[in-house]
Amino acid sequence: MIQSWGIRARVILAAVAPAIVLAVFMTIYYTHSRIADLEEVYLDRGRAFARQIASATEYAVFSNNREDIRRLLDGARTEEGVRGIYIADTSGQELARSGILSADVPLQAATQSFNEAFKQTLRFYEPILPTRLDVDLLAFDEVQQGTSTQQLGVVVLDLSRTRLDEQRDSLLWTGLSALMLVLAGSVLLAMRLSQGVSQPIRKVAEAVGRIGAGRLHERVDIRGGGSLKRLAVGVNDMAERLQGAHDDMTRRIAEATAELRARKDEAERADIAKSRFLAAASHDLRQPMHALGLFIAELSEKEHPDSTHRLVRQIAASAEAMENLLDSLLDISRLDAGALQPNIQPTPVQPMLDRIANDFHIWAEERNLRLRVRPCPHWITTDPLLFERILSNLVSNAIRYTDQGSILIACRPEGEFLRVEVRDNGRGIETDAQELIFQEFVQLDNPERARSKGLGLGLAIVRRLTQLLSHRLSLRSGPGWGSVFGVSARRAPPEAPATIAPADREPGSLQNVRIAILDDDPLALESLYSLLCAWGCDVTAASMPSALMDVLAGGPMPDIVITDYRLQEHQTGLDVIGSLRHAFGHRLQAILISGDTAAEPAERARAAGIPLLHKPVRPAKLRALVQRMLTREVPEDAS
Amino acid sequence: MLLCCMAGSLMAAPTVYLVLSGDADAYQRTAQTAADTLQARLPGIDTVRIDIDALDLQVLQQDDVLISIGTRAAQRLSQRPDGQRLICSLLTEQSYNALAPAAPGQRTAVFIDQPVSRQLALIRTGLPEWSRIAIVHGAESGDFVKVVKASAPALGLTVSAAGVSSKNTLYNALQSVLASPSILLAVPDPNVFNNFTIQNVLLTAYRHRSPVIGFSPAYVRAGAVMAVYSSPEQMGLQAAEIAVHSLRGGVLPDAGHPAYFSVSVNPHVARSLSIELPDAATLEAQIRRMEGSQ
Repeated sequence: MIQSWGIRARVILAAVAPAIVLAVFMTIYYTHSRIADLEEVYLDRGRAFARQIASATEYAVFSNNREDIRRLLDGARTEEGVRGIYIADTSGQELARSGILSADVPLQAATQSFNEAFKQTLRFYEPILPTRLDVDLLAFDEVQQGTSTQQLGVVVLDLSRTRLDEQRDSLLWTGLSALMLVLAGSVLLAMRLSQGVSQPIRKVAEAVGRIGAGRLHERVDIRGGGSLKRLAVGVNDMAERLQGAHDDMTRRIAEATAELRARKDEAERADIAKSRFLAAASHDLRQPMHALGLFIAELSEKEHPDSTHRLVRQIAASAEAMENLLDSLLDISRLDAGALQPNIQPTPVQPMLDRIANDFHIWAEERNLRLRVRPCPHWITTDPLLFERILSNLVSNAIRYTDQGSILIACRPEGEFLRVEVRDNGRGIETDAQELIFQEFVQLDNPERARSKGLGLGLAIVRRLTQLLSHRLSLRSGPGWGSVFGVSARRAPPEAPATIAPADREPGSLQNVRIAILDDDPLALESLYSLLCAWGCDVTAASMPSALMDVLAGGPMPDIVITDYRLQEHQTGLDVIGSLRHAFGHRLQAILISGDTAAEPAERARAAGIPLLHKPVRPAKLRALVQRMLTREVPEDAS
Repeated sequence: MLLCCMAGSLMAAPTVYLVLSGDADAYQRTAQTAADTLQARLPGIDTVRIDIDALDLQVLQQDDVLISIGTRAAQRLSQRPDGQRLICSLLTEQSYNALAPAAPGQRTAVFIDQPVSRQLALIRTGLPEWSRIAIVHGAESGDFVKVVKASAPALGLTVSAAGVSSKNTLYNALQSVLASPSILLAVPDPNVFNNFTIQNVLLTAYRHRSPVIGFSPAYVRAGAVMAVYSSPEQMGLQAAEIAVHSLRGGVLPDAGHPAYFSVSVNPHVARSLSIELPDAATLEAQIRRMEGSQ
């Protein structure tokens, strides 16, 4: 049990145990000896008293003076503790009696003094002997002397034990109290002393606890000497070293963290710089491309000689290729900038496959490839435009890298998911290179970087888009037996066939449609103006918002306003649209055009419910949008 | 011839043996006085002082003289076959009378008891105004009482005596004899007057305002008003004188009371009892005068 005791309890035990043993021993010894003394004294007193009575009554007994004896006894009876006195002569005949002698104990004849102890009394016998006086002439002569002492009688004295018992009890209690006092005193003293021992250690323990809790600056007060001092000094040393080590480690961690942060910042800065470069580059490229596209569209509308027409077609094809490249760059840029917000919804797969087949079968045929699409009745949860983009990139990649054979687009349900696969029997990809091909500008078989093989952004875009849509991208491939690219999307329950048919791509008549355009870039403004005029629209153009407001003021409300997003006079296209709608009513249709790839314009346009077209705007796309706006407007007008 | 004379004188010179009953001081004083007296009276006499227990009876010569000192020595020597002359000293008349009988002329004694006449003389001279004598006695001292009763009237004294027995206690006897003012005459009877009774006797007598005549100086010191006695030296002296007389060819005298005596007085007790007492020397002288006149 002691093993689990604390220092204080041990010290108390060590201090108290000897004191207890000593106190118990001393108390027992002294109480016992005191009681023995007391009894001895009591006996002595009784004997002396009996002797005194014997001596005092000697003459009265000699002279047989009973009255005298009684008087003496009555006097003696007043002594404390005397219960009774009895005097008999040598023949045992009672001479006198005083007080009470317990009758149940027979009296004895006594020739010598002795005593008996009873339960409540002590009985003393004392012979009454005549006083000896050496007066004989022949006192020296034992023959003459005779031996008889001629006893006169006997005194029987009963002394009460009550007082003795009282005294003994009192002694016992006193001894017990003293013992208790000593015990209590020694325990108190030991506790007090033990504080002196345990307190420094407890303080050290508390300090160690605080140090352990992380307060490394804590120190122990060094008090006392010897082991206590060594302990305190040792703990302080330990704390010192801990603090040193801790500070060192903290410093190193801080340094490492700072370094990491610096690198991360650097990397982020580099990334941002890259994105900004791409955004700026694509924006700056887009303005002329936008204008160029519009001009070529307008040019092709006109009557030309055949040679010129061929030239115009070649210019258009080159511009188209350039636009495709720029689109890819723009996509990457937009994806990296986080500007693309997927519009995820349940989507039937088959229409997308049909459009892909439609878009690519001519190109496939040109390259003597068979493009097959297996029908797929399933629906998936995805953004239809982006998913179609993924598929078109994969198919275009397959066509580009397949020399002969076929390309198959097929669906395969996998539990909750549907995997749409694009298979080719092309050259295949080495296992080592399978990760490489998803990086930007990586083209495995195009060291000469032939433009016909694209920029090397297609698969990079695919990977970014699948990540954005939370689809799983897979690749199975081996050199010689072709590649299988798969995109897994979560399946969705089929819904009723969409009532809204895909936008009618056939251009309708835009004759006399009133369109107001606003762009601070003169080239872009001019090209758009020309295109719209070629389409037969009634166009009002301005390079500044105030100018447009001035031109439109007082005139009829335009059917559609097309405005660049970023304008002069610190205004945006949205501001202008707001102003115009304020002037002409909220039915005013508007289209935003932006060369920015940043997320902000797209978000604000979406929030305002205004369609946003990125530069360079393909004329067909613009026309389709205008057409759709006008047809949507009709029922509203009718109503 | 010289040798013969020397041998004859050696052979003829009797030895005096002082046989002690013990080594008590009284025995030694008696023997010392006797030896000194013998040497003084018979220079060259051989005296041998010996304890009774150490005495070898075989070494005794026929004409040696034995002086027994104390009762025990007297008793032991009386039991030997007759032969040497024996002078008993320092014993009571009562004890001497109890000894085994001896051949006539072979034994004598000096009692330690004083003669009744001397005691009565002391009473008469010391307390002339008192006329009554009270005596308490045991069975064995009846003779003494008879003698007192016989001698008292001549001195104008009356005697009242009471015996102590198992029926009559000492106290009762004292009460009866001291009923009227009397002089209590202590009897040298150990059954009545002994070391253990003396205090109570003295107290009783004092309560009756009766003077007590003791028989030893210690008695006087304890509270008796006066006493006549013989000291050990006086006893030794008388025994030696008898021996000298016998060695010189005299016949041994009859056993008798001591010739030499002393008187002791307690003036404090006398004053307590309002008694005018002459001093001890005066009394002694008067007693001698009275004895001389007889």
